[in-house]
Amino acid sequence: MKHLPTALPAMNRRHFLGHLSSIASLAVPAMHFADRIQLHASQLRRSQRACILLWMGGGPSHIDTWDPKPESTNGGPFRPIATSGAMQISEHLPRMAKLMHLMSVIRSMSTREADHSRGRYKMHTGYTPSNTIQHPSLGSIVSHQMGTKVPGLSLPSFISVGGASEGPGFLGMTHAPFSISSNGQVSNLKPPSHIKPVRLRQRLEMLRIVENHFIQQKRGLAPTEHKAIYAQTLDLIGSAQTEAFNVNKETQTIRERYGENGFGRGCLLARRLVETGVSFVEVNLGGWDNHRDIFPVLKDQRLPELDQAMSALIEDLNQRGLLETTTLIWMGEFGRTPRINANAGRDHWPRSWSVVVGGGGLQGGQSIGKTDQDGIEVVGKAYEASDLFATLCHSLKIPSDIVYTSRTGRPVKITDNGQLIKPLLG
Amino acid sequence: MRWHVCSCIGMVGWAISPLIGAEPGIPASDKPSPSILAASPQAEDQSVNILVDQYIATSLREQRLRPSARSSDMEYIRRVYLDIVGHIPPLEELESFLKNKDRNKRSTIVNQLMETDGYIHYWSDIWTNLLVGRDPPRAASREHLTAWVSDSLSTGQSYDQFVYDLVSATGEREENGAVNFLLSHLNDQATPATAKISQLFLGMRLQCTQCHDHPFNQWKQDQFWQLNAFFRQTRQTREGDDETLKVKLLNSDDPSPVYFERRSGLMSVAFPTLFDGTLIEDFSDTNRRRALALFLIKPENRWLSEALVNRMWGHFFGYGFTHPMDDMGPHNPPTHPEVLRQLAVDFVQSNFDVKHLIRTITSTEAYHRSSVIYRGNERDDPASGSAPSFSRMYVKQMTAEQLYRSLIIATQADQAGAKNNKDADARRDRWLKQFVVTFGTDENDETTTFDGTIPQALMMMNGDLMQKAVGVDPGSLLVQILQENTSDAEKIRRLYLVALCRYPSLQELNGLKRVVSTTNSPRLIAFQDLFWALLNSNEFMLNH
Repeated sequence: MKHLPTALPAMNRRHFLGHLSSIASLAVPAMHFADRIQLHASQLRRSQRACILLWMGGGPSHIDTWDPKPESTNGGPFRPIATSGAMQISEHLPRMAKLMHLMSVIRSMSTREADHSRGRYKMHTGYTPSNTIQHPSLGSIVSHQMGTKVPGLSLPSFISVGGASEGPGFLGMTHAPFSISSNGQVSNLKPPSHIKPVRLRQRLEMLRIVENHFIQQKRGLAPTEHKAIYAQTLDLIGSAQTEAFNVNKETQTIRERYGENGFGRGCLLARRLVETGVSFVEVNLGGWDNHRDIFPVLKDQRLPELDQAMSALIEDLNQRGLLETTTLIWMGEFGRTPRINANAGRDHWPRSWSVVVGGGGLQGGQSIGKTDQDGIEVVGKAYEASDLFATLCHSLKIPSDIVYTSRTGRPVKITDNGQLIKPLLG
Repeated sequence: MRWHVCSCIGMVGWAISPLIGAEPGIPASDKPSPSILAASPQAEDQSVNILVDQYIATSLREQRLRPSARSSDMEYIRRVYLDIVGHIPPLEELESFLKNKDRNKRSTIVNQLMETDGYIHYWSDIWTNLLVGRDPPRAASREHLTAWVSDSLSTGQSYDQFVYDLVSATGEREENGAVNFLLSHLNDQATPATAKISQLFLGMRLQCTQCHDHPFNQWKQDQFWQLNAFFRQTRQTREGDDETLKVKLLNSDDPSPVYFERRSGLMSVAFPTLFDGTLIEDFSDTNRRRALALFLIKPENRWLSEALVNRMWGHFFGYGFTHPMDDMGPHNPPTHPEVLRQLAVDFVQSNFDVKHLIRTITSTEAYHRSSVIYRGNERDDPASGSAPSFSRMYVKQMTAEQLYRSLIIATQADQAGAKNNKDADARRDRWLKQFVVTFGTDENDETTTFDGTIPQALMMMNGDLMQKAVGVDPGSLLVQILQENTSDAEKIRRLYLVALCRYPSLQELNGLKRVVSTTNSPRLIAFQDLFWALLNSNEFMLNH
């Protein structure tokens, strides 16, 4: 571990030790990669990469957001507007329109999974669900690759705000998302007032005796993971960085700029967390599963909420010089059917849909790939989830050829043979 | 909601073949009673579990895996309580089991536990969560569904009857609690109900995809809507305001079929048709849900029994024969097909008696194995992705409900204050709700952060419930033990027994005695902290 900084803050020593014991027993990259990984950790620390995923639970319609089709009967009532980038988007995203020089729309995603849970899995892991292996979600990969190595960070490195996410798969529970509500409130964060540090130490000393006994009996991974989770939890309890959760510390003006709603709060929280050094934040905005009456819901609720919070987040990251090192992704499980159904809604549609990315050195302002005039088929090159993942890894400076060895000895690539989406690399 | 129905329905041909070893074609209405089928239930149990043992032993040999040793009584008793009644054994019952010299005490305790209120309580929670989740839509009364499931369990209703009632139920939600199942899933033209019934009762995930490449795709989409057509008559009515609200589930006499949209955009029609291709002829006059319910529980249909066996096996071992447990079919072959089939046939022959199935599963050798890994079965580790071989017991995270109840048992906290079980449950459910998170879709899917991650650890370390658990209210178990006129070592041993169902090792005992004797805290506080440590340990929170 010679690449770790020599002067760890005192607070962080136990944090580090806790992880050390857990890492030894969890899935680790294949031995011949180990040195590279460590080298990597030190590079990452210097560059402090981070990632924010805006997750649109339910699967948002591409035609009504980033890929308008005004000429088609599938187009719906929304009109396209010009943007600061080389594309038009829905008229109900006016704030984003002014920022599109910073973001790019991939309009030719094609992913095959049209069921919520399968689509969620695919777009979080880059893999098709499998019966024999649980792949880690992107947040867990980032957490595993760099989260534990950000110097001085005493918060979990993968935080999910305002909704459920995908799990860590074979990387183990220590890389599971820490799930918090969008107002940043964390229940039971502090010990009861009468439990002074001396008593907490006494409790932990006894806990160590009991826990180690059970671990030594060899019953698999869970007992060790429990101990590692407790180490993380202790870091959190003792951390001054939990101030980052307190979104109410922001001025009224700033809060209003993000929007006085769950997603607005969540995006503001994401900015605060990334500023503190958290590597991966997922912010959830559900309610895109619009099988009926899609247009009023999008026009009056989803799109205004989205437009306000997402634009405020990008502005702030950009202004504070964080956009260069923070990769931003907007996506859901899939798109929605180009055809408007009998209930004035749209159904699940993975064949041709849009994802928005930017920051982290990715080239903004572009529209990449396209769909036909009715939004049904991809014209030209289509991108799979694995291509997106390879590109995101590149942006996060995680080499996409890393091979994990699951504990059963099976080699698993960090991405499923994805090809870089070249236009994004500039 | 449109569903892109996939190869999962491909199991139709596979699944309606007659049960091996069972008489095909017994009509549901004319099933033999259990007394005719099983003159000697004890002998039946034995022969089936021996067959299961043989199948598993053979597959272990083929994989060159050496099974773990038999569990100790202490390991077993904790496991069997958690699995059957959902909490750790109370101290008295634990001690009496350990003292008992009867050779059959392990099967005796299974039978005894299945006759307790704890059994009804625990399994009505499990089924309520499966049927409607922890936070169902407001149209449904979760509470009345739980009460209905409790009744079903206490009257010993067979599983086929249970399913029949849930699928065919009508009435007011407080008068017939069974209606709350469907009331939770009627949104979007009852497509959630269609998918839920298939997944939960038949182990068929109709909502999954991969349909694009399948040659029979159109036929499958038809199948989904043909199933959905059975809910076409189903209606929900509301009367009264918030105070006097009455919600009813009814069948209208709507004679119409279901219309749906094909991928090409063309509208199609689906008539209520059973999976085996039987069209309900006079569907405009038939009570369609009843027809569907009767079909689901036909003994010669393997779906219902195999799905339940898979689910129950998964409950007791942490892993079913397929992963996920409720995604069965030719695309996802089971790890132990013979065991699954054998148990399913036996379950049907027992007249869908769940207790019989529990007796059988818990009397297999596999269930009695230790969770300690030996040289020779390290590879058998489904936690890291390998298929389970059942050469040892797998460690399971306690569910939120198990942990809550086990804390109450270990501490006897929270006894005062709740007038009855119902109050205590309501309080617990409120407490559990804080951990529920949703996925933001229309399918009412949810999960819990009470899953061994940081929110759970925070609650266990700092939460109210833990404060109460290690509190020193008169009557708490901790106070009782501290008041006994015994040595520190003996007190430590007692606390271990209460929390972990075992005695400390010498090393643990010495380590803890040292902490207790060198601390500046008063003795009482030192023991409170020890109890805190035991309840926060990996060993307490894992079912092993």
